Amino acid sequence: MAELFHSSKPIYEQIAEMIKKRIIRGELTAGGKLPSVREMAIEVNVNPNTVQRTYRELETMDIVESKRGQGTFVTEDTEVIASIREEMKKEILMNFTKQMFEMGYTKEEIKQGLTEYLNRKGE
Amino acid sequence: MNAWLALTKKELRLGLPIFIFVLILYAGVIALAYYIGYRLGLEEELIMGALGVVLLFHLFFLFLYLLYALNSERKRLHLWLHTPMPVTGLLLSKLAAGILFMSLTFIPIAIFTNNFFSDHYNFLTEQSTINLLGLSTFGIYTSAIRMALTFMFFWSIFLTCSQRMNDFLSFLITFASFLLFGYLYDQFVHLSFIQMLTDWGAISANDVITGFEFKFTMTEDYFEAGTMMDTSIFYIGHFIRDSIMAILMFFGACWIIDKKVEV
Amino acid sequence: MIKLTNVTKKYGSRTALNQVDLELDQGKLIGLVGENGSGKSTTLKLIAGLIHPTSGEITVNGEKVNRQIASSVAYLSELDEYYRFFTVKDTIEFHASQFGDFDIEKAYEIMDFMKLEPEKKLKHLSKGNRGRVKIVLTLARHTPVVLMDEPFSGLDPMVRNSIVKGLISFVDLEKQLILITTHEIREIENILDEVVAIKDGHIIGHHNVDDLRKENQLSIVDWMNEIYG
Repeated sequence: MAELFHSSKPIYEQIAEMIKKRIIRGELTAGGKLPSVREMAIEVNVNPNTVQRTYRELETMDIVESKRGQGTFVTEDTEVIASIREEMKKEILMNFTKQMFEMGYTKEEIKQGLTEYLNRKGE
Repeated sequence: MNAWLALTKKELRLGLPIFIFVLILYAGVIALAYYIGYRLGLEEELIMGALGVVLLFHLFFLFLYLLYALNSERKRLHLWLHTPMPVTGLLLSKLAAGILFMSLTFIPIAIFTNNFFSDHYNFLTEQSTINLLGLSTFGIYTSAIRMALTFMFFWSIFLTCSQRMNDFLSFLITFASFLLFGYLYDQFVHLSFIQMLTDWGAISANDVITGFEFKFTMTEDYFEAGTMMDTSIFYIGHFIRDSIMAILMFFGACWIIDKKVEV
Repeated sequence: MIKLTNVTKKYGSRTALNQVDLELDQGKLIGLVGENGSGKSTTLKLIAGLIHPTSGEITVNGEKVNRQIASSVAYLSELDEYYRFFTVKDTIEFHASQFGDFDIEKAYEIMDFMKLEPEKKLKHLSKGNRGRVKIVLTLARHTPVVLMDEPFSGLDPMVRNSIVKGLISFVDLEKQLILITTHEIREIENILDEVVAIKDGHIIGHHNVDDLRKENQLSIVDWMNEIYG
C-alpha cells in the first residue's frame, strides 16, 4: 500500500488532494457526507489521526464542514467547489508548463502541441 | 479472586498430562504387583510393597508436578509474568492445582490401602488404623508442600542464574546453593537455643497406636513393643519451625521472580 | 505518557541500551525502528516492566514502572508462545479473566474481523492466525499504552495487511499510545504519527512523520536509508 503515497508530501495533504479530486469528479457532491474518519482511514490504509488532520485542513479551507455528532460534509457552497476546480486545473497546468519550459519548449510549441494532441484524442 | 480461579483453571488444564501420567503409572505398578504376586503366590507381600512404593513416590508428586508446570511456563515467561496479579497469586495457583491433583490421586490410593489393610491384616484396632492413616496423610501433605515451596525458591534462583549463563551451570549453582542452604539450616536447627524453642509437643507412637490386638504376647516382645512406643516420632515444635521456614522461602521465591527474573 | 530518563540496560558486559532519554505522548502511533539487536525489544520490555533498567528511570503516566504496570500496559511479545491447548475462544476468555480492562465484546469483534474461528485450538492454527490472535488479545484491552514487538515478523503479506487493517480499525487513538517495533517499515509507513530510530542502544532520531515529509521530503524508508547510510 506504500506506493499509494509519494514521499515528498505529508500523507494528510495527499489525502486532501484525493478528496478534492473526488469532489471535482462529482463522486462527492455538494452537501454530501464524507466517510467517517475511521472508514476513510481503513479505505486508504492510514492512521485515523492522519485523516483527522486532513479533515481539519479541509475545514479551514472551507471545503468541508463538520457537524457535531453527524459527521463531515462537503460544503454546499458551489462557489467554493468551482474555485477548487479552477485551482486544481491551474496547479496541473503550472506543473506541466514548468516542465515544458525547463526542457526549452516555447509558448507556441506548447500551445500547438497541446491543440494537436487534444484534437487527435478527440477523434 | 475470579481472576485467580480462572488462572487456576488454566493451571489444571496445563498440568493435566502429568496427572494422567501418574494415575496410569500407579495403576500400572499395583496391577503389575498383583500379576507377579499372583504368579508367585505372594500377592499380599507384593501389593504391600507396591503400595509402599506408590505412597513413597507420592511424597514427590507435588515436586514433580511443579517441575513440569513451572518449566512449561519458562518458555512463555513474557505471557505468564505479564499480568497485574502478584507473583504470590501466580505461584499459589500452581500450588493449588498441584495439591488438587495430588489429592485426586491420593484419595483412591488411600482408600485402597485402607481396605487392603483391614481385609488382610487385623493386628491394628480400627482407631489405630485411622490414626495411622491420618498421620501419614498429614505427613505426606506437609512434607510435599514443604518440598514444593523449597523447590519454588530454588527454581527462582535457577531462573535468575539462567539469564546470565547456560542451563547446566545454572543448575550446578542452584544445586550448590541448595546444599549450602541445607547445611546452614541444619546448623541453625541444632543451635541449643533453637532446640530449646522448638523441642516441644512430642507425639509418640503410643499416642497414635491405641493398643495391639495380639492374641498371645510373649513377655520379651511386649517389652520391645513398649520401648518402641515410648519413642517420640514427631515434634509439633519442629513442624512449626519447618513450616515457618517453608513460608519464608515461598515469599523469597515471589520476591526473586518479581524483582530479579527477567523475560 | 511514557518517559525514559537516562536509561541504561546491560546484559552482563553487553550494553543493550545506553543512556536513553525518550518521551512519548498519548494518542499517537509510534514506530520504533532499527536493525536486529539495536535495542528495540529491550526498550519495549523495559516499558512493560518485564525487565529492569540497570540505571535510569522509566515512568508510564508518571508511575514508576515495575511488573505491576501490566495493568496499564498491553504488551505483545515477538515470541509465538501461547497455551496451545486453548481454543481461540478459551484464550480470549482467559485473558478477559486476567485483565480488568479487557473488552471481551471488542475481542470477539476483532476476532470476526480477522476471520478467526473461535473453536479452533491454538496448536492447530497457522502461524499467521496465531499472529492475528495476538493482535486480538492486545487491541481488546483498554490500556493507555499498547506495546507491540514485531507484530509482522515472519508473516506473509496478506496477514500483515490484515493486521494493519485491524490496527487502523480497532485502535483507540483518543486514549491510547501505540508503540510498534518492526523492521518491516514499509508495512506501517503510512500509519505512523512518529518514528523513533535506534542504533546500537542509542536513539538516533525521533521525528513527526508529516514533518519528515514536509520539511525533508523524506518517507521513513528514505530517512532510514539516510541515517543508517
